[in-house]
Amino acid sequence: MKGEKAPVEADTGVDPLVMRTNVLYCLDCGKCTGTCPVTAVKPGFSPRRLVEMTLMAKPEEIATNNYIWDCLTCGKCSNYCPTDVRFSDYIKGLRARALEQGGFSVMNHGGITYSIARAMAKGDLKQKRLEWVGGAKVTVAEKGDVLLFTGCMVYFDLIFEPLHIDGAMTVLGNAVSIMNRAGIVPAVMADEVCCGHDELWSGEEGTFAKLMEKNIQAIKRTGAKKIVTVCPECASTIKKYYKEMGGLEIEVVHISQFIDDLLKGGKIKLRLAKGKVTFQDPCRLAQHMEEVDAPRNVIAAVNPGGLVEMRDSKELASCCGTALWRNCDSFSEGMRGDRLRQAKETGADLVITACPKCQIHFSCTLSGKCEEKGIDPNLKVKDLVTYVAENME
Amino acid sequence: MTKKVTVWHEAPKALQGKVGGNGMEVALKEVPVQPIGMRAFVTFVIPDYCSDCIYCEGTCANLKFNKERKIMIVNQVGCRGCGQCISSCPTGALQQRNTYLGKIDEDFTHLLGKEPAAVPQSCNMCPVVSGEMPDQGNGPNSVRLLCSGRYEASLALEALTKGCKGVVVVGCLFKDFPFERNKVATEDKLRFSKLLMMRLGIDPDKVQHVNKYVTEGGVRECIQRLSGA
Repeated sequence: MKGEKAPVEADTGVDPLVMRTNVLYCLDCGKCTGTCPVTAVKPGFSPRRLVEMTLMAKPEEIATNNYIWDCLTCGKCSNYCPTDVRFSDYIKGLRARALEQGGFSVMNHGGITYSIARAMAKGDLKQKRLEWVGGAKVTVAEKGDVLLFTGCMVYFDLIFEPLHIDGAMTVLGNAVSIMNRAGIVPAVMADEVCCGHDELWSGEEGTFAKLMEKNIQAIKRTGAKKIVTVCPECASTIKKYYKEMGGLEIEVVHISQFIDDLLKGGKIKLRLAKGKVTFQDPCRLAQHMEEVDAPRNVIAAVNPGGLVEMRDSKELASCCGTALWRNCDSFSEGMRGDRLRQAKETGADLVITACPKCQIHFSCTLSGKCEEKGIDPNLKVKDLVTYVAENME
Repeated sequence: MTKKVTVWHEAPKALQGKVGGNGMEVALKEVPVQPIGMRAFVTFVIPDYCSDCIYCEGTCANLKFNKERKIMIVNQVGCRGCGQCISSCPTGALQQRNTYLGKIDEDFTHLLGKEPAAVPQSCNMCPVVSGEMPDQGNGPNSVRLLCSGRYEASLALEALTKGCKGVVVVGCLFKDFPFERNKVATEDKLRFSKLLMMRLGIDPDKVQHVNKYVTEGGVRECIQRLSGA
């Protein structure tokens, strides 16, 4: 996303949220609406109209405005904004205000992911989150230079059991086995808690602050100099917000960037794979972290010439359609359907993602009625880490 | 005996403005119902949230996908409110009168003022609770779900996070279960919540399932045991 340097906050009497996110500079040009993946499927949603609607709105009007919960906060609009309006950040602030005013939005899966995060934030829990290490037969340590931030995968295993996704043992186990092959023994934390990404972007700032506090202390105990995450959401949260709000000064990379570096250094030897594959850019990696090359380099190393791009790719790629376990509805299902149809058009039979949540969402759509929506039910969805590990010598 | 009553008197505040035209129509439709009982829990759809995944269609014969309007239609005459479809819904489009998320949240807030030791989760007509503790079965000291199959791990986690010492899930006897499918669902969900709590490092015994004869008792002891009294 643009806007790395924070704008000057002068005491002008203007709402600090508006000042911070440059919303007053909106030209009403409509480039955001033209690029917004939600507008494409949901009539009535438009970022620039939403800005107009909320700029002068009373707090209670913001609480009852449903549109602020429809935004995926993917950040695609900010990449095209000529005046650098940070719309996602603006929405984040609005949601916090809406919650204060008793705003309400339906959570998916009965709100279980939020309940887990709140339980982690509240209590001093002795979690059993390293069970996958034994099953995957890999070597990890308690302390080390490289830290693998495992994220919520261990809980998704339980929640999404019926979808038969690649779980913690596969994704995390493969990530560690790649590292082990390169001679790195990563540290993993038994007292890690959720990174707080979902809470931050849905406006539960109190919960996020508690989670961040716990994580920063745990990270400091490991003595790590580099954090590697399997989930782009964790990566972008720790990289940007832990630094801004918690003062954590450690290099953070997503696993695709890490593997890219390993491959460039010649530390892993690969067996070349065949077949056509396509890549789904996760919004937090492509838009928030502006990383589109690393995963492509990795795929090109595994399968030279096998990567075919979808119609919308790289910065233009649309999100998988659901963020924060909140906005899942017929429109986001439409976005996923569109994405999977694009994947089929390329002629690929494997969609590679770099985000566990994308994998879950696509698997969910593919397990439903595909024929009516024109989706090929034989498409396979696989995580980038698994793809590399399967083709490792 | 049947009587015509409005199933949904008014949309809950939290859902006001969320229920679109079609949903309101469905929710407000007058249907012939029995005056009390299971009717209090009739299910309705918020069309904005329906993702057409039809997971719910497999759980109940009273749900049909309407291809023209592209939403799920609940046969409110047939619906007894067991809540299986709601549990199967990943998006939260299916909601139930009296048990929508906001209401449960209000219940917990209400309970917090009283510093409860344990939250029994049972329905309005629970033979177990009302037989054993008539003052508590329908009182404010419990979260009412129609069926123990509607129990969710997130509810127990929320209760425990908000300061309760335990959760007692009270339900019908398995040999006398009104909803066949929910027997499996109850066991599944209790198993899931125990696994989840074990992984989270919370003592899984903090959630207790009681379904015994009234004469055998158990609810009162369970609450006392959990609250450490």
